Amino acid sequence: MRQRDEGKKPGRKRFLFRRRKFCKFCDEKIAFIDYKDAKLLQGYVPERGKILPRRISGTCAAHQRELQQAIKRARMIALVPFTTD
Amino acid sequence: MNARYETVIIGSPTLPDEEFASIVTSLEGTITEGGGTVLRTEPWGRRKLAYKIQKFDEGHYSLLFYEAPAALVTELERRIRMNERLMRFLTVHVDWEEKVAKAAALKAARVPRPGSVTPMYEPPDQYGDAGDMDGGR
Repeated sequence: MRQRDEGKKPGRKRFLFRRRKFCKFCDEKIAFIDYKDAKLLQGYVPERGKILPRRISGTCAAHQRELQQAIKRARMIALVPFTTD
Repeated sequence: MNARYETVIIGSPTLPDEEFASIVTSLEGTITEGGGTVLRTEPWGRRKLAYKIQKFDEGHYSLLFYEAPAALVTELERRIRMNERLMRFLTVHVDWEEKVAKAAALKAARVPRPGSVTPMYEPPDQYGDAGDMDGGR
């Protein structure tokens, strides 16, 4: 079973419990990332409209590439914003 | 062999629904006449745009899913461009059907690992692939 939680040891001193990041797309076995799925993509474009970096979301490289492509396509048909002001 | 494409078109919100629908039908006609086949059309209806296009913040959306030779795609896009009532379009080569089919097949034919003993009770596989520390990439 995959270790999802860190800091399980009770004695360990830590101020922040950070969950181990994992790729949502690998985890859910999503076959492909659809540019039409605005709801899904919305989660990867925070307020400013930028694409959420991998280091934050934990998405794996392959899926981040696919996601990037999907977001860019979705932007063209105004499902996802380029920027917000 | 004809490839599969998907075209999303966005019509001006000033159009009545029927008029937009008739534009879609005429585009379907272009595809069939040009030697393609329309496999599916999905009217998404009026949708809010994520940003303004031609000062409108709404639009009629529709998706055409079809099989066509490459030249026909160019022709279709040319017609869309000429139509002033269509504000935006996006054509995408549909290359993910294999992936979807593969994933579905994998799911259907999941064979237990060799040497593994079938337990009496199988807990629900809530994390996907069990026993994979790196996430089964």
